[in-house]
Amino acid sequence: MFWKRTIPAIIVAAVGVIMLLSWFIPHAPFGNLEIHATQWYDIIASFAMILGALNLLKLQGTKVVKRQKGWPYSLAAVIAFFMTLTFGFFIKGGYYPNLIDVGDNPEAVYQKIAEVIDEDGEVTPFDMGEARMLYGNPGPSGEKINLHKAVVSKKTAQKIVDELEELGATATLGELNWGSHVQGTGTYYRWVFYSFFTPLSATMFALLAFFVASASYRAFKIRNAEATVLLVSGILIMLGRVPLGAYLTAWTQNISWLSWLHLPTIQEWLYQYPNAAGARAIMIGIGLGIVGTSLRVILGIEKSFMGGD
Amino acid sequence: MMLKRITCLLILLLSIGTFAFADLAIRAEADPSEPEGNQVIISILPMKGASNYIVQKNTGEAEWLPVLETSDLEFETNIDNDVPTTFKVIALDENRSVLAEAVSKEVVTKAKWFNTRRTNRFIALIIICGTILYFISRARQNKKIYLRPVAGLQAFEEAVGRATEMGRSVLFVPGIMDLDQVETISGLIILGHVAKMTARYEAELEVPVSRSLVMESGRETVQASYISEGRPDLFSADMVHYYTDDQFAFAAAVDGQMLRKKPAAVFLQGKFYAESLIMAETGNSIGAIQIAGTGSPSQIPFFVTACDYTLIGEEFFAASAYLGDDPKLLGSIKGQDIVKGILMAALGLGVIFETFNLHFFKKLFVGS
Repeated sequence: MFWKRTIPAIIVAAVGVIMLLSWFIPHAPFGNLEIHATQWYDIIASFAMILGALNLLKLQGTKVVKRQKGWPYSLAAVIAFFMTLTFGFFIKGGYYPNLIDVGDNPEAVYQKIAEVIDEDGEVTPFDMGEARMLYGNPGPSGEKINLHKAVVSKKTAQKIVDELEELGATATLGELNWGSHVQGTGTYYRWVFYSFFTPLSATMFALLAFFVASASYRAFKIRNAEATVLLVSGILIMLGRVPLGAYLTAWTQNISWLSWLHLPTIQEWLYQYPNAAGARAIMIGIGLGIVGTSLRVILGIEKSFMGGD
Repeated sequence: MMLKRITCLLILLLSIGTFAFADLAIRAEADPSEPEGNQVIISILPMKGASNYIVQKNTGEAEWLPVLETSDLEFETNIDNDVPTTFKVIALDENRSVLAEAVSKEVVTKAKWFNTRRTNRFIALIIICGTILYFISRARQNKKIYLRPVAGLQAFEEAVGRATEMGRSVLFVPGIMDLDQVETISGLIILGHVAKMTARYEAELEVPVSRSLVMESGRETVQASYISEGRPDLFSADMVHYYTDDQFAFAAAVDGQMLRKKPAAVFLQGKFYAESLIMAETGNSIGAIQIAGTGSPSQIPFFVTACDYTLIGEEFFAASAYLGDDPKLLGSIKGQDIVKGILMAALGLGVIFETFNLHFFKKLFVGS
């Protein structure tokens, strides 16, 4: 109990008080404590990541082995985990041809380069111009110029090198270093990230549009006085923020005592005053709640998040 | 600061007037008004024919490091605290030929032991903490403290009971952020209370988390709750399980879990961002009783719309005191309410003073 509850509580209290006071003390060693503490936290969290990964594998793996309900999803999670791990640590891809000299047949070499760097499958004069401009001058002393479109497999990159050499150019095979492959083009990791992860994330985010519609429908249903106020305010804000609102009430601008009825003015007022007042009231409550919770944690009154009573 | 600058400028003007572009000189002085140190005020005594000045600094190494090239005669620059630094100015004419050089005296900056620019916030901190501590001590002396009932908190037991009756699970999501957020801590504290209820009712509890540290802390919390209720046999470490750190991947995993297992009660208590509505609407679609709580102001409207009960702002942070019934915790909530009263009075006074064009009161609250 002493090691599991008391010592952590003492550490929390000591660190809490020091961090709180360090905000008021710029002198060393307090001045930079926040930065150091954040770094320590990141290091600890990085190690804890292993625990999370093992837990994920254990649970999803068990589901697959026992063929529990929804096991194919778990299988997809396990496969995706190992695939990303492999592409991150073991197989990187990211091979590219290095052009050293265009040789005696530059136009044919540019044609080939244009085919390589082309994005849409059709080589246009623009692609040819780009190839000439980017790779036309490999340098007086034979510096290497990377073809900026790296390719995933070594075989494909070697094939391009061979084809360039057949056309009279001097080219070698290059590859991205470990580490830079995470952000570099033409790597397996990047392929997984941009071809799987990004679209899937975007899909989840896009669901918000539908959920906002259904949630708004429920919120705006007239059930009582508050819901009616919400509906009216919502409509005024929505109309005031689109050109139609301004267009419909443009006539009010010609009559000075009616100018406040202009919908953009009304929406701005609603947004800046009643809305801001309500939001700030909530913010003050949240701020005090954070101070109160922090104080309870620092003083050791609240220990349940560490497994205490 | 202002006085210092005016003095420097006067000295500069006097020097210009007296010596009429005599010798080039540079003066470097630590800015005494800067609590964090680091800052040096550089003044250059100009020389005739110079159009630009290159300023360099030296901290004891062989090389002079460039600071800037300027035509200004006074400016501020940063140096490292406690490192003696010397500045050199090189005057250039219009053809960029060097006219003369001058070196300043050594200057050392030091950070202060108290940031005077934050005095008002330090006083506010003492008042807030003092008030809360006072009410905690009052609560310790068994002074009865009344707190108004909060519907969302009263519904916790009802939600767990409903799940038990229906033979379905209880899903608890302690947000998507790590332990460095107070909301996550608060979510875990509430998890402890919910876990006690599920242990009492023998309801199944599932806690998907998106951070490994939260998983470890959540397990400790749930285990302690099951032990305190005398049901360690019902506890399993896998109740609290990790999915992923990624926001939308986590939302997808939790949604999938909701749709497959159809929990009867969903608790969304912690720090949430855009995934809040995705989770809450999915919970709504499966007919679960949903109780949300968050300290993220922008997510509160989504939870209010999609959930049965929402703990708004301070209610979320006060949940532990309400659910736990510990007098010390109740005392801290009472203290918070008193501070809120003080703030409301200050706001009212501020409105009155500003209406009468008196700004002294507002300035008390302005920080830098």
